Amino acid sequence: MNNSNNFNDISNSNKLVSPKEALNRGNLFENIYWPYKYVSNLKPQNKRQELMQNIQAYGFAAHELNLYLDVYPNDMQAVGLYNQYKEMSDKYLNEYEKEFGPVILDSNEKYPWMWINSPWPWEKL
Amino acid sequence: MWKYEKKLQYPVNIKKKNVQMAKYIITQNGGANGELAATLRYLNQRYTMPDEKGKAVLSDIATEEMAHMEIISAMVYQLLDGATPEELREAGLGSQYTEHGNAVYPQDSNGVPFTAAYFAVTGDPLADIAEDMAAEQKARATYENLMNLTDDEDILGPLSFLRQREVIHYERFKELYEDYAKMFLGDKSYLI
Repeated sequence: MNNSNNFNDISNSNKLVSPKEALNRGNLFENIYWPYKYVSNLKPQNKRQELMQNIQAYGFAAHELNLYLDVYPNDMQAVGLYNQYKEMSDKYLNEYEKEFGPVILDSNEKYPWMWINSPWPWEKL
Repeated sequence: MWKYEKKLQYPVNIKKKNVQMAKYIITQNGGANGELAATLRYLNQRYTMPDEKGKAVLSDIATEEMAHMEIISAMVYQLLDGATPEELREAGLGSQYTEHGNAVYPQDSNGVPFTAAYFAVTGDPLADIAEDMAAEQKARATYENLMNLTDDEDILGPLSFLRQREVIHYERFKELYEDYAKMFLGDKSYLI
């Protein structure tokens, strides 16, 4: 993946941290980051958690750019980066769903219906 | 419309039951500065936004707030998981147990149920977005208070993530507010 451990520049003087650091911080943007007391350092304990945290990290980075682009829709670099992060998130989503069942229902669901399987999101992984 | 994704925005895996923290954290589900108030505030304000940016920002942030309510509820569920009536009573949750068992109910830390009176929808974009900026700051302050009440990293992680989201949302609302101040008052705007 491109620049995942470096700062990425988009317009309006924004410096971006990597998707994994962004998920730990709750913030993709270095210049408006305001920490308080504690920063997490998520460490997956098993394959399932690892895939899920990759979906969460890349999905979160894409979502941050989505909110940013709502206000700055003409930032071409930000659109490119959004597409890149969304693609990574989809890639990990496919891997996860192959092994652990659906996260999002689509048109190739298997028999028996696995959507109902535990754990549900509020249960520990 | 909305579609459910069977995942959390940020992981919640709390190993240690903590009835007292559950009693405090539930306020970010159903309290005045909580996530349910946030999502309903933005969802109802979005229809009368004067431009496309405003409609998009309010729709997308409202949707994220639903995911935050889910994170808070997952925390409360796990903190209460396996708690006995005796443990709940000792933590001041005897009345909660009487009404709701070990379930998650939208209320504040004093047990006051959620009400739509917690938020305003005026139809005036400047008034509404100014309210949204204040709401994000109040939620941030509440998250800091909650973080000061625990040392458990399993609890601090999601609280810290959610607090930081208030910082980002405030920034996006502020950018929108500055746009609208210029839209309504021109370059002479004294509102920014």
